Amino acid sequence: MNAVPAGVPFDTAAIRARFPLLARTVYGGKPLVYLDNANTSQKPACVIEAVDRFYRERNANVSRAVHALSEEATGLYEGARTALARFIGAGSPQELVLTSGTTMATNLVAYSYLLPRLRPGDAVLTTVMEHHANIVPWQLVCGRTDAQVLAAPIRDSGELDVDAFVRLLGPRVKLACVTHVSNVLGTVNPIPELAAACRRRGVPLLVDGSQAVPHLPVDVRALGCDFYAFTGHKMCGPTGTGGLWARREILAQMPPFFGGGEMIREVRIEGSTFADPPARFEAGTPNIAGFAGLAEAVHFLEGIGMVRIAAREQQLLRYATARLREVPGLRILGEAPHKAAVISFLVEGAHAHDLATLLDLEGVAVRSGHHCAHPLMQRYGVPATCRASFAFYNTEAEADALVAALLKARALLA
Amino acid sequence: MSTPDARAGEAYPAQVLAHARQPRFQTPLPAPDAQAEGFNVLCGDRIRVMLSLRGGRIAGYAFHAQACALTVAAASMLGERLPGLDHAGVARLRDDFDALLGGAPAVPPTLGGLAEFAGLARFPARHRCAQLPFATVLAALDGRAHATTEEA
Repeated sequence: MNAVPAGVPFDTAAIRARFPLLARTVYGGKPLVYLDNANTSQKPACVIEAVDRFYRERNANVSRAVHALSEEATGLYEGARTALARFIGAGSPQELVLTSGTTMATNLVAYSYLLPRLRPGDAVLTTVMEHHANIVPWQLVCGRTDAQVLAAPIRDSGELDVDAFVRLLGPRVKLACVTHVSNVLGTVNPIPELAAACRRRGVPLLVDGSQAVPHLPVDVRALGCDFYAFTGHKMCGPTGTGGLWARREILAQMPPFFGGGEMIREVRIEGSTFADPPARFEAGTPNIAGFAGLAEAVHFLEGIGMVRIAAREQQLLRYATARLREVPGLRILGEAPHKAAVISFLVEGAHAHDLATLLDLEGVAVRSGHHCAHPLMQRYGVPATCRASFAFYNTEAEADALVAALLKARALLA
Repeated sequence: MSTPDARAGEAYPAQVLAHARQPRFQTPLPAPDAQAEGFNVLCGDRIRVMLSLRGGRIAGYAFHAQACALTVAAASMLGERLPGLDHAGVARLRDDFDALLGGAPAVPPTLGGLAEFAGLARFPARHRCAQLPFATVLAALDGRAHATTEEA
């Protein structure tokens, strides 16, 4: 990759200039302060142009026709697979199933891998800090087989209770599912340690990488997990893109989940044979334009360098955390020593939704609510939080704008 | 285009904030004839309303809310309009309130102080917050235990 060397200063202004949307204003001239990156990231011009160029110059279906356009479209789509596989450290592009995002990836594992293996009394182990996409698919298949979902607890700091997780890895557990980075708390979980514990007990480990791939260097083989799910739209790519990495021998054992075109070898009315992975799991016409854009997003992120991105976001996290502590009555939820630039908070006497409405009027976009993590909200006994989530293109001045808007909102509501 | 401060004033006018800070009808009814809980899971707004009834009409009202300022203020201001209303009367009030949030040009006189919510017409994502107390009172009158305004 042509990543910028680590010693070169991080040129935030130049990076921001590549994101057209970051230049816009809201409510009559307020500069947009976009701090909802854990929800979805903004897109650089190169990604937007790649999607546009696909439809203007190369639109055709993949792997079906011999004409030039189809070959170009197939090349783009498979090129995206190769780029993504390299980006996450996969051993081969053939280990990467392209999906519409993490939700489709976890559902694919639930129905293709897990369901045929579950027996009454079995269990799936997850944690209380998971996004619903890493809870509900397991509940659905457990409901069909009289199995149960277990959730490892967390500490007040927002760290996973690793000892409890390991204790819960009993003989009935058929799959463990953990997020790499919490979308609410920012906690970075110790995946290699968890993976080692799972391996000792023969339990495969699925990692939800939705909040990690955009913010950390990820090497799925070094992590030691068995499945790794991620989504494209949080990593500067288009919506409706993502992937599931799995060990080749596991993918080879998995039957198809969606049936249709593209995933077959031969179809007869009395029965069909199926393509090898990953095509076996990619029925129908995929989001080709989206993956053309996602490939560009990977090149864009590699150009900056994930190590530098992670370091810059840590600077922003430290700065924003210190500034937010100046707001009277503000309490941060999730203070793990190892966390990403996601800050959930509560302000005494002000409901999260009122804060979010008033911040929005100042141009500051944050998310408020339960963040698709009900069990975590229940764990902390709160109905909702505000969440400011940063990306490498955010600035210290934007953290200042958040604090100024919070002080103003608090003065109005208190 | 109005300034952010003016828009904040539209969503949170002084009367709404006053009710949110010091809501009325907080003393629980010792033996309510009807009660229900309203919960908007996406927002996290939760409210319990209690009613006493006389001849099918509301004679007493109390609520307890863990909710945003808009839900609390709407519940408090709604209480001022409820005495003497039967189910049909509350439903009409709810319809008038919905029309107000929908940007109706003429404010129905039945709304009284609730007309302060007119500015919320420009904040559609927050309508469900102000509507929750209405839905919860109607649920109580219907004999339903639960209400939400998130599933329109």
